[in-house]
Amino acid sequence: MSLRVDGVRWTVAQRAVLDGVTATAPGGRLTGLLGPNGAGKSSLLRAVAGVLAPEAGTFTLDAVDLAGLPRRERARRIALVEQEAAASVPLTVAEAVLIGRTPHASRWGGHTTADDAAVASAIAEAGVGDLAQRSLGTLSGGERQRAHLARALAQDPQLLLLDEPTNHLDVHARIELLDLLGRLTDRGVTVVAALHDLNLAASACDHLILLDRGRVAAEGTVDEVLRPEVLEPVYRVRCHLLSHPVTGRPVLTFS
Amino acid sequence: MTAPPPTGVRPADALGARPSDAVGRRRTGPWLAVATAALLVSVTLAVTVGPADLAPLDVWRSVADHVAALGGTSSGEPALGVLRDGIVWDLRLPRVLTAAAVGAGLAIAGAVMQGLTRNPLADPYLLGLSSGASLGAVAVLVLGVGVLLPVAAFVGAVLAMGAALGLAGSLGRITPARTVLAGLAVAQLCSAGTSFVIFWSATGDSYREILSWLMGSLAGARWPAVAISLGAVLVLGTGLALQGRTLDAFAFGDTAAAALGVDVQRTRWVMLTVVALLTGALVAVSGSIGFVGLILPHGVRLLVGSSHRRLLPLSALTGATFLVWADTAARTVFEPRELPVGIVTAFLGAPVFALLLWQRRSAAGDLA
Amino acid sequence: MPAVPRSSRAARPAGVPQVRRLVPALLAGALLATTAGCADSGDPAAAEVPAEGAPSTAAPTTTPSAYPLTLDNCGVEVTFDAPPERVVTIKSSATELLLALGVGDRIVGTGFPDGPAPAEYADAAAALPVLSDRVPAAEVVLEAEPDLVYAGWESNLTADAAGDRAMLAELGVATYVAPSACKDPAYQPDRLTFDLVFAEIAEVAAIMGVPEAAEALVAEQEAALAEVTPDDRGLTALWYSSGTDVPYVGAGIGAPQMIMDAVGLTNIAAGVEDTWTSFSWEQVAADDPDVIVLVDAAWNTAEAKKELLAGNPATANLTAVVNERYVVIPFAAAEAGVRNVPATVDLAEQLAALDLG
Repeated sequence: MSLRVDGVRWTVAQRAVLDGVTATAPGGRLTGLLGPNGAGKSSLLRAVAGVLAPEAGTFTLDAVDLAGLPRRERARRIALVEQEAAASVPLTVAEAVLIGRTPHASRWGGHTTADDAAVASAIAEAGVGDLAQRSLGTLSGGERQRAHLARALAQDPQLLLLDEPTNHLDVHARIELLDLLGRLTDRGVTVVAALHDLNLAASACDHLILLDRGRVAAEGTVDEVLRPEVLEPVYRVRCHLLSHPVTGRPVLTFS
Repeated sequence: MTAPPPTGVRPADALGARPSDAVGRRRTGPWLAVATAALLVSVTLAVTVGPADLAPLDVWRSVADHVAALGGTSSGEPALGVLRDGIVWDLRLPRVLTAAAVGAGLAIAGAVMQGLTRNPLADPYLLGLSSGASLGAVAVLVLGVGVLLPVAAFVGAVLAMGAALGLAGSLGRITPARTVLAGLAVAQLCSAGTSFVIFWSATGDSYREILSWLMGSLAGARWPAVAISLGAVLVLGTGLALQGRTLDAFAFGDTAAAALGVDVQRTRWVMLTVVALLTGALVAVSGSIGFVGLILPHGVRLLVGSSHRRLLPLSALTGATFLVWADTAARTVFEPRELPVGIVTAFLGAPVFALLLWQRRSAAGDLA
Repeated sequence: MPAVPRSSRAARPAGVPQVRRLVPALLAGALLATTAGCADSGDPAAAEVPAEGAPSTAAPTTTPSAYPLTLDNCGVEVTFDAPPERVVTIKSSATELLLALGVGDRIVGTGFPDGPAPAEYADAAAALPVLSDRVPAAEVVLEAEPDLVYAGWESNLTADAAGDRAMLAELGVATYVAPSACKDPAYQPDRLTFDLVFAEIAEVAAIMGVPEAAEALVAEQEAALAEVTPDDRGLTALWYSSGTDVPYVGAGIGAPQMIMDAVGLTNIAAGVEDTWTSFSWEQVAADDPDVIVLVDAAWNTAEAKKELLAGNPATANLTAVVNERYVVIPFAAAEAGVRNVPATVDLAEQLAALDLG
């Protein structure tokens, strides 16, 4: 279930936010989407999810052109977890996760046992079982993030898109999240995550796409992309490469 | 900030064993049953209350006779005498039924508006509906063609909605914020127009009727009003109630809703239009009764949470019961004088809501 | 808006307006016509009532000792040093009272008529300058340079209507409200009676300096009233003034009750302590009045009311509606004034002619 992005262009107020983006996220793998602020990461994820419509370009998921799919069908395959979802929605975690079943709901919104089962397993997988009856407004940032992740999992997606998922998470929670993403990719779900933290990307991702001002500056494996000569022109800082003592993966420091 | 685990929490794996608990499905059924029963009891009792002194059994027998007559088995002269029978069948029963229908419709319209605009202060009149209806109604009242009032009110409401949506849409995509602002602008304009018409041409007598209409009154509800309001609620209201899950999808913002496969613009347009038509029909029949559409959904949320699948039908049932009793109070507390029911809804509703808020202090923090 | 009483209670001016004298006078009653005022040295001709351009001669029938005349009108103390020469009247009741007293030539402007004047004053009324179809604004009133504004309703004399009483007093314009229309409980009559109406006629005549005209008029009306035999069939009645969904009816203490008492009708809304009140069709149906008194106004005719009653399923079965037991009274006659007695006489005749078979 690989995702192919081909020549996507999206302009807002005469500014090309996405300027001919062509890239691939391999199926069943974790792909990191990197780039400085304003590079177009969030916009690209939204375009894939069908939230915004680009002027040009195609998206193909597993050889199916997404533009040809009706919205609900697209939403059954692709789930998006945003950076900042509304905080003070007066719903319980369980109710919020149920909302993730919307694309699978029948025309008149019946509530099926399949929904219940999906919700339960999503809650378990995201580790929010203890919080299921708590109201969203009473949760910490990290707990809320996991609740939204559970909602995305309830959609039963083939492609999971995450926009800065580690923002509110402490170190322990970050590792847990990466473990969870690893389990998902083991199951065959394709995951694309926009990440700020390059070291996190280094430690977990199988494939990287580096965006710079709406274009793909680099794409490839971790070793191919996380090099000073690639990163410095994009991030405009001095970059030093080390090797992780345990995993051998690259570790970056900046000055 | 870590809270202690709630008591009675089930470990994650046990959730799989009883999945329905996870989303509280058990909670809905009992609430719906209670609310429906309360409504039926209220209607049955309210019909027996009024300034004229009629025994409850006589009232029910009169209704039964009429229903039988409708079904073809007529028993001839009404047992109560033509006039007293007329009190029951021509005055009280249509009025109680209209109150139930209008209450249900306003409550559900209010809940939907609050969900669509993600604004807890939204009410069914948001798109300038009540102001537009008022303008239409006042115009015909002043011109002396009061018989056209429902039509004029409805037309006024729909035109105002069209203006508001047109204004909101002309600024780009319709967003919740634009909807609210455009509605406010249209409402202000219509209000000014209404005030001007009243000031310019109302004679001493018509002030009273206008005031009564502006505050909302069910005094004129006869069987045609029942047909309009009940028809609107059954058709449009049911349609809205079935969209509970779609409305839930809006809970986390337009982006999340779009990512869940909802056509945000189209859904919003369609639902706003349905709400406007429903509200227009109700306002045409009863004037602009306040409080029900704004506060009642919040009250129901405090009891059963914000999930629209539950909220919409329960709001409708609760709204119906509430307005039945408010109207009963309006026509009996100061008998033989009558108050416009809009006054009573505000007086009754605000303290009830405050009480609910106080009782549910912990849940109330989420309403923002 | 009669339902919203505007109190001029607070209208006691802070300063001493020009019309007031230093002699304090606390005459709360209405029967001041024959009070010989203090023999002050004030010369009526040189009165402090400014009336620019008006002749400074006193009216020929005035005895100088009747002035200065001070009265408590709805809680506001008003003093007249001479009979007013330039009067602005608001509402038909005020206009017609002055016409009936024969001082119509002193009217410099009228406003807010309730309908055409009765036949006997029609020509005189037609000659009067009309300031406005509604309540005239303060500026318009002042432009006519009156020395008295005579208002039929208390609410006519407020800032956004013809001007509040204190402001007008400071400008030297006296104001007078029909006493029966006072809304303050201390001044509103507990029950309007013909005697109160006659007292009002007399008081206005005293102000205008023509007490003999009042005596003649009152005597004439008393005689006419005495001729009226109340109906003895014990009939109940509804005084239906306006309203479709909620009827607005004559209640227990105002002109409708007064007239109904005189013609022998029992008012089904007599229990409500108000001049008029909103009512309920259910109560009407429960009471099933024998007769319905229809108020006829240009904007809401008796005919229209008949159609409404017949067409509304809730009222179509009322005895009075089925048998068309209606009597009609013109709107203006329901305000306290010179029309009450003729209307009562006419109503009694209509009632006598009603066949209740």
